[in-house]
Amino acid sequence: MANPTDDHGEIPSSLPGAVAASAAASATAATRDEDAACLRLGVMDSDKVEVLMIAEAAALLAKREADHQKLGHTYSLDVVNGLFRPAMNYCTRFDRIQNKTAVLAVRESFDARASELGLHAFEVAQLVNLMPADAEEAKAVIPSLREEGKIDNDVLNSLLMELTTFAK
Amino acid sequence: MFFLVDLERRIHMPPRQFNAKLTDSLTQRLMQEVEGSFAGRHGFVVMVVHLHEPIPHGELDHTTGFAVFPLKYKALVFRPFKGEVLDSVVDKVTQHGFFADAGPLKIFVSHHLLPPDMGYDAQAECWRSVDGNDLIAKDASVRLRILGLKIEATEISATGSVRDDYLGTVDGG
Repeated sequence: MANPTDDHGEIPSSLPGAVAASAAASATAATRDEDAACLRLGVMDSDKVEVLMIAEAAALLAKREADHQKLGHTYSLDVVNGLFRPAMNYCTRFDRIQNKTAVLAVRESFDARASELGLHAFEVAQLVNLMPADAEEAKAVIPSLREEGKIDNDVLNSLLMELTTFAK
Repeated sequence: MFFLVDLERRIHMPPRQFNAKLTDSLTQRLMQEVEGSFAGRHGFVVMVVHLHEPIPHGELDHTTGFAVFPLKYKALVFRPFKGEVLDSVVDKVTQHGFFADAGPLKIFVSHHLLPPDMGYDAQAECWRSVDGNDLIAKDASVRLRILGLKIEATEISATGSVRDDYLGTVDGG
């Protein structure tokens, strides 16, 4: 059972193994309630947290690599950050948006329209990341869209059609 | 799913770095310490996006002479959720199922959670559908649903399924 005064599940790196493991166990227990299908996103569902599309993460990672090179380091980022290359490769591979301009346009117009329609930021990012072909597929892979009265199939189809204009 | 979150970390700086380049040194040290690490409920810290300003004053630790800075920063994290559908890359295929990677996350899909019309081809080390149309082999792009997540001390491990409609091999890469 999670301690109500828990500090959001941070696992201090200075803790000895057994204590870190039990912190992890309580983090697992607390996450048992989480379920993307019901938009129960735990600590990630807060005003202070932004949900990013793969395309946006790709842009951030590319900029980080460019900055690193500009500083003239002799070593590559991979050496100090074992997660950089896996994340970068993943984003490059599954980024379905044409280019940077399109990414900005998606954030401004598509995101705005989807939010007006009552979609959660997580659902918007999922639509962009997964690019479902139609409303039926969208509701299958983003189950929270199936919620009663959430979004009409026709409206969803028109949203998806708008999204394809930004796709590669 | 990728998120931008605000995180905190106490950075210890040695006296020899108390100079005009302190801010840069702080940023460098923060990046070295947290990038590529695991942040529990916030997931994997992929990179530091920026430090929150103003940078707080450091407090001297009298025993070591180091200054401790309670830094706040914005991080790009990867945090999966149970029930989330995401694309992944197949890494290893066995008769028990397959392992796939989604960025920093490793997901295991048991053969029980493959479509019933798929069989294991030991020769080719892949799972193949009866009609031959679907092939799950190393380096294939596979869309899967995360069924279970286990947060351990230094990582998250996940199990998934490709059994439902619209899951399985997809275009990408």
